[in-house]
Amino acid sequence: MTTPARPDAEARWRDVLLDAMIPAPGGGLPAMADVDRRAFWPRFEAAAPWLVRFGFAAATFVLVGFAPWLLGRRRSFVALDAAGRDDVLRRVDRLPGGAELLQVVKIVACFAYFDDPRVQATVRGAPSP
Amino acid sequence: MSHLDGRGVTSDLALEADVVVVGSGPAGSAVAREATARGASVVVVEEGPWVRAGEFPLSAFDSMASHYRDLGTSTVLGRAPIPYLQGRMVGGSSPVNGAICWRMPRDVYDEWVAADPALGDALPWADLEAITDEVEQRLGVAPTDPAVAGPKNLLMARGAEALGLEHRPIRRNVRGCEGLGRCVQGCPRGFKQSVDVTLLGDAMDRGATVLSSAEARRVVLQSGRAAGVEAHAQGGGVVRVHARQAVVLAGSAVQTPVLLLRSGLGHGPVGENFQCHPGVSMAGRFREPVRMWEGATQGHEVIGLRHEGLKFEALGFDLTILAARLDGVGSDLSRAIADMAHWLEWGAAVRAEARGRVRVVFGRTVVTYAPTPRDVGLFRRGLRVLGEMMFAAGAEEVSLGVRGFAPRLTSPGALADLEKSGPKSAAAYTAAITHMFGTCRMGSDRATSVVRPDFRHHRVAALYVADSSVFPTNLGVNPQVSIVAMATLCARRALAAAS
Repeated sequence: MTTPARPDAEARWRDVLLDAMIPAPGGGLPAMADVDRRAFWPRFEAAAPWLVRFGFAAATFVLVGFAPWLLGRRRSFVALDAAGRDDVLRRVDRLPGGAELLQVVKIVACFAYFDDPRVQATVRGAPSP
Repeated sequence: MSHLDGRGVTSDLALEADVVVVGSGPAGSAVAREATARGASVVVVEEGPWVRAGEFPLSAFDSMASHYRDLGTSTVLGRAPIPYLQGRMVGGSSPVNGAICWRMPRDVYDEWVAADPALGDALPWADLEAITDEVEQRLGVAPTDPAVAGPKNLLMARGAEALGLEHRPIRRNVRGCEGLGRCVQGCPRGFKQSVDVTLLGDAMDRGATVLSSAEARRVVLQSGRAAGVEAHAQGGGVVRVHARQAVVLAGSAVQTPVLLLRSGLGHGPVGENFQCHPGVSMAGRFREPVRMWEGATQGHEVIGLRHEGLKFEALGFDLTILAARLDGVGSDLSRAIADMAHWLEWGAAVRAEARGRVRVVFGRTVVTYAPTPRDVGLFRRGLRVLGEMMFAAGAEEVSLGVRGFAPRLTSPGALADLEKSGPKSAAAYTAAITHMFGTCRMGSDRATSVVRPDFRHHRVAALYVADSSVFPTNLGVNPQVSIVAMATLCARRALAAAS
């Protein structure tokens, strides 16, 4: 059985978007791209209310599907390199309504990122003042 | 004692008790405790699951998914959609709140009695005080120990002191707290004396049955009298709980009016007069690491401006929530996360004058609410005071969370401008709602209230409301102890009427 093309594309888009949201914190923290999210997505799909899932899907669609073109880029978000994706997100953040659009993605990204025990351990393990 | 897990109830079931309580939060647990102490048999119906101390997860996502209603994304609709947080588990929000305990403020009580003198007779101040004394003992309420407060709380004390504002360690219902900073995810060591392990535990020791993971869908009436509750268990079975003496609703100021409306009991202003405490917050960066996620979750408060309708609290977020609150996206967010040990957040809770409404629309719960211009003015005033306290405490910069104003400030100079000429729209502010009240308000006039001063429904015999729905107004302070005191009185009234 073949997996339908559209869900594959959606999954790819949301992963690319989340990778761009937290590219490389440093300080021993992994980049989002290095965080294994395979266990997160099914839990998110099961637990998130439909409005949150809808909002996240819509934001992903707009940011990955349209934002680069609206900002004058000639390549899709997926085809951009890391610096290009970062530039798109930061420019959208400064547009009217952009921060609100990005907020839902940011929250999901933070849920996914800190769901990784390595991230929790790295942050919490840092020495206390 | 008896616990019935609705996830395992796969076929229909009938139960019976003297008193049926809907909801196991502070109100429901208090009713169950008082009723069993007076010899009544009790069944408590709770929509959420029972989660023991050792089962609270470290993952904020798992915590919010399993312990909070709608993943913590429930939102009031209006000119400014604002999220409101509600726990959904045995104990209600109590296992996942900040453990803040306030006695009912006398000035608020006096407001209630001035507006409706019948409340003075039905709710004697001396009785409320005596109940509160006993409850505080049971819950282990005491000021936060400075040894476990952590930097975020101690810095608030420093900032308030510098500004000459009255402040104090928060009185909390904990025993042996080690400052793990995980109150809002559930204390993994069981230090919090939430109502599930205290008041409800007492009730179960005296024979109460708790049916968890079962949603009350309807109040059952017989001959104009509340005769029980119909609940749908997560396992698929329908549970009918017959009440010999009384049905007591204690589901919260959102869920209780919804249950009444779904039961066809929309008489009077059910769902109207929704009041709450909207709050705004500010993040501040300090040169030394402050590690906001450590120390007592909420251990210090500033109460010097309560007369203006403002109360300030140190906040204790999990890493996830703190990161989502930090400025920026992409590489900016990455840098902020790497630096997050230096950031902390404090909040200002507003005793708002706005009133909203809880409705059922196409089967869904809808809460409409819009802060008034005066309330938004208090957002601005609160943020100014928060910023001034932060700089006085040594912050290098603050992040305002206000759209349409400078995102960050490195000195307090512009804070006065924020109060004077900041955005007038509530939508510009990063706000959240806690503590909801008033949607089944009590009073002697059935045109303007849903229950009588003795908590009885105006029109349906043997039906009572015990939660903060009955509060005529908001309190301006954290309500859980006041809710317990009021609900205890409700149980006394219900049993006295039945006998």
